[in-house]
Amino acid sequence: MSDVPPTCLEIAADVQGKKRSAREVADEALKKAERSQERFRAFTLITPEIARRQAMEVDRRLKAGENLPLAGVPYAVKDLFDVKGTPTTYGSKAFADRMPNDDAEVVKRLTKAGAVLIGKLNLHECAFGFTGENKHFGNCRNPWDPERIPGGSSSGSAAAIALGICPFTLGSDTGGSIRMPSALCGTIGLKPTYGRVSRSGGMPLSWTMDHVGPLTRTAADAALVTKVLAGHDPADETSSRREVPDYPAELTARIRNLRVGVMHQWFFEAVDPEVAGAITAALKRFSDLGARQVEAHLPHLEEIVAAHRAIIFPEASSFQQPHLAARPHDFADDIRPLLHAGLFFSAVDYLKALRARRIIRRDWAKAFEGIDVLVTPTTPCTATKFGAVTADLPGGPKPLVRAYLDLTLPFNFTGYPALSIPCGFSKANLPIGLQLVGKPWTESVLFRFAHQYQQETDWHRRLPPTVA
Amino acid sequence: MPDPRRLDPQTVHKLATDYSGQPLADQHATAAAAFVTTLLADMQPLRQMSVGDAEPATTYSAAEGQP
Repeated sequence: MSDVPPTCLEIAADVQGKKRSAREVADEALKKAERSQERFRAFTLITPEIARRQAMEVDRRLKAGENLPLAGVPYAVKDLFDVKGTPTTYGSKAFADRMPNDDAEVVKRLTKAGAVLIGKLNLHECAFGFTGENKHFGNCRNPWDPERIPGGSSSGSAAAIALGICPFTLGSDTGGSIRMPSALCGTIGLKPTYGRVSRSGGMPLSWTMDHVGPLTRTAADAALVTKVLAGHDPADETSSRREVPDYPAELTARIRNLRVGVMHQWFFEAVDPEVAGAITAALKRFSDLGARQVEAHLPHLEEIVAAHRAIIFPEASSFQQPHLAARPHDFADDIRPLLHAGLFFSAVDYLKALRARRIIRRDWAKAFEGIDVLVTPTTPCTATKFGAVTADLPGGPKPLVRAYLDLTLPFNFTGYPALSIPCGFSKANLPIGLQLVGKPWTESVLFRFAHQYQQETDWHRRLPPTVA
Repeated sequence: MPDPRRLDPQTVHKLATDYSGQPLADQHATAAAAFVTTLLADMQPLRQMSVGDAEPATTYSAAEGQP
């Protein structure tokens, strides 16, 4: 069996300590990316020139005595973030020649911290889907079983980590697009609080619900990368001025007596027994660590599903209108109806959703007074095969869009932070994900739970058979 | 009698063409009509929700302060 790929912390320590050069690390990551590309299609573009140039620059900066928290750490970004000198394709032929003049804010921050970009990652076209299928760049495949979906829309972002190509990637999440592929590919994925990480330089799907966040193998790495990414950006008017906590320093703070909320209604009603069993076992671990399990009740979930649709479709249609007009045939046939759909929602429905958001925000604040984190399955089942349209769940088959997104999208609508961590495997050796949800701005609590859980378990250290 | 909740492909065709400036192929209009009909049916819980006199929540304040 292969060794577990190194973490961000391990790579940065090696490069800072001159055990390896950033250039050597970059070359190795590029080799892995190129080797896996034909089979898994994790990338839309591998960028060896950028990687080698940035790696040499990191080696130079270290020699000059700079302190770089991500020194030489290779990473890749979902191909909706701008990287100067590469097209931001958005996973679509319609944007294939969109050449940005600048890097996205998150890319700038990572470069400043010493990270090395090795490529741009495949995604569901225009981030508008959850299977990772892509007619223009080829379907990204699940490293645990290439016949199955990796999840999406940040499909390549999760697959690249599961394949051991790099220890962190960037994704975006409007209904579950970081957490859901993380669950299906066995990685960690954070959707931060809305406003915590800048969206500037990223293509929008739905302005009021888009979130940018990292995918990693470990919680400690997620804390480190989030610390680099977070903080005010004047170019994104939704970006918060709140101080960024020292997430890595808080990983080992006690979770004893923190309250873990569990809501059986909605989140456990139609869940595969193997998934439910893994979540129950994880809850027992949290109890062993001293946390207290309590009943939780989040109101308005059915209304949230409707409100999410009343927002995402009009906002997506609004953004895409000139692109649809200019290049209608460059969108895949399964994406075009989604982009037209927003035309048929009334302004009254859209505003009702925004008004409902105010009521729901108030009621959720009350519901969260009784808990510190909410624990749910990230998805009710493991990865389905390509082409499936329903998931077989207790109670009967459920449309895939409802099965895969109903447990994640409420937190996009409300802006609450949510983290998916691997918590087990099915009998078919497919990863299972657990979702931790916190109050706004409490990412550090989520990292703390995830990190201490990972000290007690080895799910995150397992490798797909395609890699091992 | 046609179901009033059902969107017909001609309506989709017209609106989508107006919107994009390009004619929409029949099969695409039909696909969009079926899809949108399902989506609009999902709106009922939102339409029935009482929101009193609440104003629309702006995105920034939605999570910035304690609600």
